[in-house]
Amino acid sequence: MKAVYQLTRPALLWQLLMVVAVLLPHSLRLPWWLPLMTFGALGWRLWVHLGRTSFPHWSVKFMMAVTAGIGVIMSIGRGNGPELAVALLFAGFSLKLLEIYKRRDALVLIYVAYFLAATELLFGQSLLHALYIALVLVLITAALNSVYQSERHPDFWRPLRASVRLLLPALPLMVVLFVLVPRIGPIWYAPLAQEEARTGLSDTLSPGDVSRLTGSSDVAFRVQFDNGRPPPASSRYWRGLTYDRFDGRRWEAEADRSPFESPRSDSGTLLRYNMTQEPSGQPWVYALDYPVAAPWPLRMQANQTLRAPAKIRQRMDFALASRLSSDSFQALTATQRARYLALPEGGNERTRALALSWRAQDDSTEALVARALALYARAFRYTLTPQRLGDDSIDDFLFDTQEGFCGHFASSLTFLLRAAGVPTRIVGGYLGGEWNPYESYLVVRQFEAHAWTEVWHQGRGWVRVDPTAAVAPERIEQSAEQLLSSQPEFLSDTLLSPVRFGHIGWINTLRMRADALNFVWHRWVLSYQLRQNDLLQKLLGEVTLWKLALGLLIPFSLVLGWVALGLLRQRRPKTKDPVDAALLRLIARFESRGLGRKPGEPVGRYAQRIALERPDLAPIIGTVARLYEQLRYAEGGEPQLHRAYLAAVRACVRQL
Amino acid sequence: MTERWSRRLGARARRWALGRHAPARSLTLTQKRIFIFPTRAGLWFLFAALVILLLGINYENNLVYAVSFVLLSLFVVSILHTYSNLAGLTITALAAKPCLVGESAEFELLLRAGRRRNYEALQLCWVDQAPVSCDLIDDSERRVRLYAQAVERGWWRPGALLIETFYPLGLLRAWTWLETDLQALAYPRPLEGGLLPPGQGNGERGSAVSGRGSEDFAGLETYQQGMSPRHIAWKQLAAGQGLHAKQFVDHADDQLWLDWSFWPELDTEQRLSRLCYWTLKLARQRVQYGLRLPGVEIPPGRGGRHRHQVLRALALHGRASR
Amino acid sequence: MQVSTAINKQSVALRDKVERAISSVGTLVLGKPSQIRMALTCLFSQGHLLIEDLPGMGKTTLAHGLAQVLGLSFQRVQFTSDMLPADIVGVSIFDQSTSAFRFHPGPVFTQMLLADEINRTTPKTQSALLEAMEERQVTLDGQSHPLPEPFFVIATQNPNTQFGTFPLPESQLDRFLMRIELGYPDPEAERKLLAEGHSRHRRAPLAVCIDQDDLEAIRTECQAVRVSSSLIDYLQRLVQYTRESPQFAYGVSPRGSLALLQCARTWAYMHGRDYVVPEDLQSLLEPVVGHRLRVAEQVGGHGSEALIRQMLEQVDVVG
Repeated sequence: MKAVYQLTRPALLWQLLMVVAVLLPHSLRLPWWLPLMTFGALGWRLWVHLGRTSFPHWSVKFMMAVTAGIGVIMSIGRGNGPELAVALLFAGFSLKLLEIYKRRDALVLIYVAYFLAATELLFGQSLLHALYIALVLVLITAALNSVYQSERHPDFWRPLRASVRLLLPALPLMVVLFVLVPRIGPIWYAPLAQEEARTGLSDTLSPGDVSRLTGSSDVAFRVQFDNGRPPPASSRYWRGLTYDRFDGRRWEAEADRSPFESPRSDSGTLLRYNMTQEPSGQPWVYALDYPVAAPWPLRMQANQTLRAPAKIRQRMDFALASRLSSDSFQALTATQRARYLALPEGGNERTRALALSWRAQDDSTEALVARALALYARAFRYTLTPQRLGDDSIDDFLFDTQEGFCGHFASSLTFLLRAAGVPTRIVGGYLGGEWNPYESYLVVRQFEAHAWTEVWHQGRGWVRVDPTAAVAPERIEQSAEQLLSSQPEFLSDTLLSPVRFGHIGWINTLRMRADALNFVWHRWVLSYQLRQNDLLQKLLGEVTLWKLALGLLIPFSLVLGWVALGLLRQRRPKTKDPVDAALLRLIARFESRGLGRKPGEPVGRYAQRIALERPDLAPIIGTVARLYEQLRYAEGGEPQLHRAYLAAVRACVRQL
Repeated sequence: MTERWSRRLGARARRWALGRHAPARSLTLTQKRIFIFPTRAGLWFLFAALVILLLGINYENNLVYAVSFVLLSLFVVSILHTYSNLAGLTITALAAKPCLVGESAEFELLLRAGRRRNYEALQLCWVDQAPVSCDLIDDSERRVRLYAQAVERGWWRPGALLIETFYPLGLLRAWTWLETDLQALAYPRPLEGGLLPPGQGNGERGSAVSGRGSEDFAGLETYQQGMSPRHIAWKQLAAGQGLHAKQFVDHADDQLWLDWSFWPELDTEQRLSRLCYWTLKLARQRVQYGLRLPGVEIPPGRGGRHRHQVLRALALHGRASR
Repeated sequence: MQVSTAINKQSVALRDKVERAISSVGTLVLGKPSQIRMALTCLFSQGHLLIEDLPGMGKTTLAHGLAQVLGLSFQRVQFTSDMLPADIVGVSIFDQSTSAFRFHPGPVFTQMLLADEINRTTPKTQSALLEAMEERQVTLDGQSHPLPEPFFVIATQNPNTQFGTFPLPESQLDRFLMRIELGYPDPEAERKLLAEGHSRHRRAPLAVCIDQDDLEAIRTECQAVRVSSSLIDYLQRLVQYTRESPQFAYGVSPRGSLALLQCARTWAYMHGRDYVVPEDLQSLLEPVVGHRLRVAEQVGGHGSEALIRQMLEQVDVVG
């Protein structure tokens, strides 16, 4: 025979609170009408609780369920498995609200809430997200507790206290499990659709593209060097891709399937570092010029750039190595040569003529490059807001406007040199990076996007030539932020970005700290699976099953022992003042010697008993009892009495 | 399925637990007596944690892993909480009130928190009887009344007492079985019918006054504060003779005897039941009555105590008296 | 300084007198110093005393002795079942010569009344006495006759198990500040008693140790005895225990706890302290509270003494 259980008022309130908490972060992603429906159901249930209306008829609920199901499928589309699943679950969850009368209904709701809270983390994993979900777990657990709390003493706040009391000890246990449980790869592949529009370099470059990025202070990637020091500012070129083909207006990246031949000599020091790349929606992986090898699953392409097998949709970690100088001499195949000399059939005639005239004077590559850079240095101006260019964009730039930024310089130089018969390519990537001293890593942001050129020298291979340096050398030597902050376009997308206020000391510190925290969060939590092996090896030595089990067992029993102690320990009576506290401490000492005080035993009589058992202590314990009595019952409040009493207690403890 | 399983397990545990401990008036629950096992809701909870773990594995999402681990840890921590929601509780059997066969007897138990702790949402019940829930929140003791149906007259025990709790999260059930030494007296089931032999209760009235009562008018006395207004002598008051109260007395020889030999056509149990019926009836009519059973004679009397004495004699006729 | 020394001297002298009174009564009632002290505590606290014991334990002797050392006028009434209220409080008689009612005061008009075997008389007579005790006056035919001051009643009662008695109801037991038992004398005292034999009765009356001014002074000093908040806490815990424990049918009333505190003050005074300690409450709990409690029916076999002892063991003294 089971008692029929009806939800108490606090239990119902907790259910509703829990639903709102779970719903909130999801609601931005779900079809707009679904949260609306949930709030409708919530209101209905509340109305029922207040006795203003009744539960809907089953047919109404059935109709609502069918409509909601069809609506969800129609508005999300069947392609997005996980989103659809979450949305359907949500629809059911909302409708279930109209059905909680009994404990079992509430349980279904609560367990689904746990699950929905977990799914939220598939869509966002920032520290704030995690904290919010932690809060949601507290609320759900409180809701679960409220269902089981006594019907005779319903109370709104007690479940919250119980929830915190249960979850606090669960936290260390969770950490132990988190650290020790081995991670295994996905069982089946179910991609999550992500917003594709990510800021970052794209696979085409038309002069002007890069300036789009200077509006953003989003992080592109973070780098942690194994030696703990960043390379000098002038060599922080982060290589991402090369733009090889020009159609008159735009440069395009073109896949070169031929493999990269590794350099023949190992000159220059090898820099090892860990690259944590933010989702870019592109497959290329940035590496410090010049990467030497591609770790699995990356692939090194012929143009010495790294490419991931798929587009990077979540933050990823790669262990990379680079050399700052390159002598990667590699013979250029005929196709490659053709590719790096290719120009569109017509257009930009003035530039072509200039190139041919230069070539006629001196056709050595060095001389051509020097002439071009001299030209830039003489007449050109660096600006983020250049004038618009006409159809012959290179001509317009070189002869008319003569102002622009890295994209303009790189593309015009490449055009010039190719027209002069020198194989040249544009490299897209980032230049610079900000050193975060708190966690010792370099953070590279979108506004540090950069384009430069690489020129083929017979006998030396590809050599980096940065025309921007000829115009604005400070762009290389200083941080982009310092240079660009005078430009009106700079960070125009993010007006309130903390980077803007970098010159204010404490804001900068705060920003660095926050970024460091974010970085650690990612390194040690979000991509823990990459570090688990190392950490376990460091903690346990050689990882064996036996050691894992022990590592699990010992902290578990410690935590559980602590909880059990807290739960089962006889609570000492609360003491109100130092007089009682001192007495209880003294009694505790005696108790450990088998001379405890019985509850009903007045202090005076207790002292007499002690005096009989321990004649050596008779005088001092007598003093203690007398002074206690004076303080406690004669209400002698004199400070010297107080001091004498405490001194007597101390003396008694000593003599014990 | 789980329920049947756990019930069977419970029955075995009950036999085992009860076999190990003698019935007692008062006992404190310790780990020797407390059993703990996941409930069906608890297994579903573990299932939910597992599903979340799969989600984490599949999307290589460490935060989802963490949620799953939180749930698992919560389960482990709640084992202790559920256990401690019984541990240290002292149960004292206080009293059992008598009842008629077929009715429910009331048993009174005292729960006392061993330590200064709260016990919440405890459920107590006799085997196969309706549970009663109770708490000890900011309260060191509480009396609980439990009911169990009497099947046979005489002294009887209600069987084993189940104390269980699902608190705090309902994931686990902690329970204990115990045998109390409480026994209730069951009076025979009243059997309606029969007549008292003539001549009973027709003694001459008015000779001996047995004390203040409600039956016969005996005189007037000065009205004093606290006397029933119904007894005010209005006639005298109207006559200007002051406020007086009417005094009533009962007569001692308004006495009846209930005798074993009244209904020879009935068998023993039926006779007892019939006598029980008449006892209750006479007690309601507020007459004095006595009882004669073979070997027992209770002189006429009145009041609750007397009625109990008579019914007790009926209940224990031919039975061991404890 | 001068004044306070004087007061101190005076109070030392007073305490001496109290001690003398106790030892003086002690020569009459052998081997019962604590009961004598208890009885005096009751009288100093302006309460009435109920002595409950079997016949022949020296109840009457004790009352006599107390009256003598306090120098009080003394009346003794032996209660019987045929006694009427008028036999106690007095009666108005119509005087033919003055053709008016005249009040003839009963034995209750005395300073110390020994109501012997109070449970032998009918509830009506009992309540007449108890009313007089409470009101400290007798009201008859709309006229109040105040009783002398001081006024003490020492009632004696045979335990209820004795045949043919009317036990006092709880509401009336409450009128007595204390209930004590004398108990059998210890062997030594009994031996002495037997040796003295009849000579005891021929003894000269005891000298007055405490006159009425002293009594007034003692009462004033008792009122000045300090009661700390910690002690009040303890008292409240005790009282709460009786109200919550299922072993008692009902707990101590506020009147009961006030009585306990009042007696504790006097008790502390008699032990030469100007503040009350928990020991005082513990010693007085049984005599002051014992008769105000009723043991719950289901806790058979225990008297209230055993339960009070248990309660004293369980209620923590240190808050």
